[in-house]
Amino acid sequence: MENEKKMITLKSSDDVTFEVEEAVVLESQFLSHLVQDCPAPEHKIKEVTGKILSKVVEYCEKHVVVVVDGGDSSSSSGDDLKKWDDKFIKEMDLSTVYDLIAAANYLNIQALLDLMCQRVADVITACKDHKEIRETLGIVSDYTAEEEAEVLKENEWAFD
Amino acid sequence: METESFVSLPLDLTIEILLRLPAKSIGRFRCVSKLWSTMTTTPSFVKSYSVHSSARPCLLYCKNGEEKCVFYSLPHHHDTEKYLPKEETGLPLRIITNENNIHHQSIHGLIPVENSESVIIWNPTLKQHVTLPQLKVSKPFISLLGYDPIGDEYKVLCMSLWVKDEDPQIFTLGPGESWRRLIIQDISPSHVKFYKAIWRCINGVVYYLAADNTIVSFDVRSEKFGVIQIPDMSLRMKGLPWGIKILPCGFIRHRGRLALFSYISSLRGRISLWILEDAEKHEWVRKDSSLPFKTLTSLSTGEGIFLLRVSGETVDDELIYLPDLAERPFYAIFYDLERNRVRKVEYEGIGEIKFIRSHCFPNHIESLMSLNDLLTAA
Repeated sequence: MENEKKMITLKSSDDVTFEVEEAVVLESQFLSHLVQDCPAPEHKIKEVTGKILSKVVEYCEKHVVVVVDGGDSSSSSGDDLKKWDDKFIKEMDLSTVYDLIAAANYLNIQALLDLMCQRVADVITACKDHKEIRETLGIVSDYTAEEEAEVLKENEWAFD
Repeated sequence: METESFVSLPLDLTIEILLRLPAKSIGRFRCVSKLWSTMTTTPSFVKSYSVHSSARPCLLYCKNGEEKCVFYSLPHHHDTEKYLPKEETGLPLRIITNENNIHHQSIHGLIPVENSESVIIWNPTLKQHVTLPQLKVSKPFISLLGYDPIGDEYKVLCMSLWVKDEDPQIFTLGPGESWRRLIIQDISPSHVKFYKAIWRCINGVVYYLAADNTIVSFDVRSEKFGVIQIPDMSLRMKGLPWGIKILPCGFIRHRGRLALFSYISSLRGRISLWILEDAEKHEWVRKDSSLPFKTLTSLSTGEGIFLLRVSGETVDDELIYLPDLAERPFYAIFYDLERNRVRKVEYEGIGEIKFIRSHCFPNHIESLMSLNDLLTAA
């Protein structure tokens, strides 16, 4: 049995390097293809910064370990992973979340993309009205006072 | 790649986020700016939203007040065993349970509620309802709502309960539509069995128990009828002489197919499902299980007993059992037939009311389908 794990180096746009096992890279569809097509020891990912790539690597490493250790991915390891995911996103500010959404989309890591989209959705869900949504997401209103009154009336059902 | 704000995310990703929101948050989002109002009112967004919310149906519990009904959305799944729902404004009219025992149902987020004169379509999510134009069908009539997932269209099928040789009428929900007499092409369908309006819409097909003790299928898209012979449920009901003709039975969806069950087996602490394998060949497959919980229970007040009845199913094919009398707190039992697993969720604060006067819609989903422009001319 070949026991030695193949290591791959990822380099961010700002030249931060991460040495990871090949299994970790395989979590990303984009990187899987990249590694297959181009068997170089180091891969530069120009679209992702070191700060974000470190988060991506952290996420993928955790998810690889659990799948391997859990064997048939029993429910307890699934619960642990969910707890880990919850903690992972809780500590993150929204701008990091947006960057991670863009990175997960680019690198094609569906589970990470789902997790991050759900995080933003949860933040929006917690907003009790349109003003709070604007403030939270930094959106500027282009409604005139009359238009806003009208749209509020149309969507009266959405307010408690 | 620096993405510092929500608006700098690619549009398909922001849509992906919005589709995860509860409907109320979508409504609030529409008030944020013109762009987001436009984005969340397109027909394709409204359709995708329904598809997404189909993965998280709820139990809509309606309660008649003096002149209106209020409702509660009760989630099928909840992290804790107890859930405290919020009362929502419902219809400005009472939902009538008549002696025909007509079961109202939520079809892809909309609920048809008929009174003796006309058909009313209700969207609880948007708190909208619309009364369809008068129709030429002999009273009393019944309206069945169907949803065609391919064409993304809702159609109301309406037929007389007494006058058997009258053609059914159909109404497509959309601007400029009107009642149409259904041109029967192949077979003339038997009408709904009047004293037990049992029906379901599954994957674009409305099934109903017909007066001649067959099951009639109505393909919502092609508007064609079919007839399915029912399984001989009586043969295997040991010691019980009743066939389906008088057997109180119901329809549920099991693994994406129509399934038939009898309430009598519930009384005996069992469930027998007859699952429709092949409608053309009239093939049914039977699945049996002894229930690991009691179906007949005394009320906590000590005044009588109540029966837990199968009322629907979850997306994971758990059967939903609801008490037929209001037990306090109101609760639901979710039973996984395959794994023989049971879970119970209590819904608190719903208040005391006889269950018989209220209504439950077990497979309700949130829909952004607006009924406002439905009756305007094309």
